Amino acid sequence: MLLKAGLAKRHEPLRAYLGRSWPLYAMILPGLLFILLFRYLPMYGVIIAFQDFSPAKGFAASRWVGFDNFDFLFSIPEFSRIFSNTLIIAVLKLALDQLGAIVLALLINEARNLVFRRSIQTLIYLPHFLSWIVLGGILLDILSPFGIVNNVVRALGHEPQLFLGSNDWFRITIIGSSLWKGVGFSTVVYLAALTAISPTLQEAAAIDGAGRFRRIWHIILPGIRPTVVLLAALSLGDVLQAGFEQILTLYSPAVYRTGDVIDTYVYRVGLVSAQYSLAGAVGLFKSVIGFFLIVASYWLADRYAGYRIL
Amino acid sequence: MAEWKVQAIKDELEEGRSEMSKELPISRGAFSRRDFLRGSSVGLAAAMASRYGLAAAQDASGIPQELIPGSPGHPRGWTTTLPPIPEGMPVSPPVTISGSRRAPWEFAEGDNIENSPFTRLTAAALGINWQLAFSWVDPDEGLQKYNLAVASGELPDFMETVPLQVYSDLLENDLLEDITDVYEEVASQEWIKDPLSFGDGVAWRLAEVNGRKMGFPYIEQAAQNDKVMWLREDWLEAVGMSAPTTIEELHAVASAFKTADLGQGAEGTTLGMVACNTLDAWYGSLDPVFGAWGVMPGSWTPDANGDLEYNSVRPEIKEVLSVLQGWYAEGLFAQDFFTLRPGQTAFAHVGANIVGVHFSPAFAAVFGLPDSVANDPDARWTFADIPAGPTGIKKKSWSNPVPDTVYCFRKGFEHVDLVLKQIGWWAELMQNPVNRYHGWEGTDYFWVGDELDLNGYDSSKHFFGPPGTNGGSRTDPYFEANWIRHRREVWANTAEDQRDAMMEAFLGGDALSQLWDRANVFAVDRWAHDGIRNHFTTVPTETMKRAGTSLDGLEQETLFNIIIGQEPLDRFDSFVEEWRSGGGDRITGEVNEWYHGS
Repeated sequence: MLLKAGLAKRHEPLRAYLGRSWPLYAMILPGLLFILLFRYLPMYGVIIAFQDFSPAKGFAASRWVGFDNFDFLFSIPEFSRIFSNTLIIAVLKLALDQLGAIVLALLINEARNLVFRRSIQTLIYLPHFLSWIVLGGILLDILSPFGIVNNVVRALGHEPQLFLGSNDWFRITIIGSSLWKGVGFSTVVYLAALTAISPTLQEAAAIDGAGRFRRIWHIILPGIRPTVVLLAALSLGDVLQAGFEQILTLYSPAVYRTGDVIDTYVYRVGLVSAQYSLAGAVGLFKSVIGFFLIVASYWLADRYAGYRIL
Repeated sequence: MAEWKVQAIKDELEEGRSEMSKELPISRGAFSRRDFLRGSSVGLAAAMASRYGLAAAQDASGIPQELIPGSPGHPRGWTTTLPPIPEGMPVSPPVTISGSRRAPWEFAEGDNIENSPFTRLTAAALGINWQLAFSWVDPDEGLQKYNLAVASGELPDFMETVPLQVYSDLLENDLLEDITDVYEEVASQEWIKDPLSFGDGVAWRLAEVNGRKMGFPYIEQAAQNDKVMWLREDWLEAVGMSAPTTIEELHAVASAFKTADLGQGAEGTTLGMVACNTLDAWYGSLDPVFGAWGVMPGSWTPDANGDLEYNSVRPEIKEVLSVLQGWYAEGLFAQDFFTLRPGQTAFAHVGANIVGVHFSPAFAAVFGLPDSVANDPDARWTFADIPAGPTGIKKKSWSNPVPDTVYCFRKGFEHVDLVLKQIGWWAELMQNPVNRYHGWEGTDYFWVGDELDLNGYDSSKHFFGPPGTNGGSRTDPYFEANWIRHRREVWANTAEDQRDAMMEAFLGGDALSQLWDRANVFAVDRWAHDGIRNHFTTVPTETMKRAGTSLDGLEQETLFNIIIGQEPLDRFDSFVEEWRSGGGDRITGEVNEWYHGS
């Protein structure tokens, strides 16, 4: 596209064009190689999903088993439970994360004081860089029956709750803590998009008497609509990623009913015996679903936000 | 000094050592007075040897003095006696063997894994040079490197702690050397074969396949995770009670602690007892409570007909659950106990001083208890035997010292005999306390004037193979206990003016490490008798691979939900039905097929 556009616009010969812009192509090369080597080449490995893979035999000599691994996956008695848990947790996480990020970005954008704005941004990014193992320990502590949260609950005259131990609360805790950890970082792209909205539009609207909310509604939100649609579309690929590390750190047998997801279940299968092929099959299953959703959302993005790659 | 004098001292040493060594590894009880006298005579001989410079005699074997451990030259030092060099060694020309190792290590200035006190002495005494094939730190990295080595076909000669999944892959593809015959021929009877025969040969549960030895066992220490009952002595005094001996008394003591609210936390936060997200956990466990009814969740034990039976579905479990459900309802356990990992309870409960009873291993004296004492200098901990159940049964989970890993030899490796001889020689040097092996100055310990600084690098981590390596893999599960006994019974009875600096450093250890030693020997003495042993010790069966995760999940979910009252007690009956029909019956069949076949 770049090539075509360049040629079409400037009507210059291909040679001259390349002579002028080859450094740009050279700069893109390492990135392309990286993706090729580490993203596309390993896709060859998905064949282990159809094998009884043994590292000693390698890809070539391992026994082929057809769809056995998938049969196993779908015949797990709890499959419907872990599938729906995965879907519910992942979808709520995605939706609330996007929504929260937009709201937060708008709030930060409206703040006048630059020092205040910068420090808030830094503070809300911070949790993103902590690992779930560390956060898990902190959460267990502050959500324990005599932790800070339950002390507040008690002070307000309510019964203390088992936020990590009861099936009523577990999903809420998982989604809430994930939101707290990730939403700050998700604002980055929105804040970037907000800077691209021409201030003249806002000023014009202000002169016409639009208040803050009217300006947000009629100028800012339409201005970032392509970004919102794009990010939402891309995130659909993650619709079966409920957050393995987080759940593994926080769950316990008592909340399997509401908190056990595909990844944690397969992890426990792996504890019983090495299951490279089953893990491969699960990865492929999730990727295929993610792929269809991305294609569908791309179509939607084109239809409703006029967004396309080519 | 006359020639005959040196010979006499040497003979005395030889005699003393071989007599002692016959006694030690099999001695389960206390040392007799005879043993003690014999031990001290050896000690005297060693003292004489160091005074008269026995070094001359050892030089005869061609090993330079500076390679030999010990500090014979120091006024308060001691002499380490090297065992006789195995026949035909040192091999000449020296042989180079490649090995994989689990890191991390620390070394004295200038040393590394291929040039350490261990490799230097091994090269000089046995003629073996070690070469590092690859190393790893965490288990995932180890798995990756082994898989890589397997895939590339470049296996090291000797492989340390091969993960189970790699091991079965190697076996399946015939990539491992069968060491059965060499082992029979050259492995030391006294320092390898005998000590590895404990527990009906459970040491070989993985290393032996269809009667053939396909690897060398990796074993841990006896009773390492066996529980003792840890008690707050000062709390017992405060409520005027003595250490509980039955489950009923345990309940009374725990309730009294809670009611008296003796804990250090906010008002009303004192707990009766510790529990965590695993019923049979390595810390803060409930396994002695289940054991009091003679059952252990997750274990397979023989029933009246001699068939293996899965304990989690036995009717006794329901009785224990009903007791635990009551205790939870009374608030004896933390409300959220089932969300805590075992290690967390050491800090959140024990260290925070909100609990006065817990079932944890002997090493709780240095894990959890130090925090408790740091937070409350008046805290006094003691330990007692686990309590007995209503019918007088007193059992706990038997800690299996054979984890899911094994040492392996590459198919076609020609020097298995040399490695086995090396293991035997080092095992004798290290595991017989009479040899006085305490490592090397500058690596394991440092002299600060006449005193010892023991904060060294632990040279046994530098070893290729047992009795060293990072996991402390000895050839004898009673190694630690034998040493503790030796220190408490031989060293402690040595006249104070005759003790060397190493004896003093150990005997003068702080109160908690003394407590650890005592609890350790206490647990080891009860290891064989009080433990409920899981008799299913092989790789998972076919149905376990397919349905095991689902059944385990069902079991955990049900048991915990019953204890915390989210499910009624009678849910247990339907759980047993579900377990049976969901694959449990088939698994029981497969397990017994294996059990009766082996």
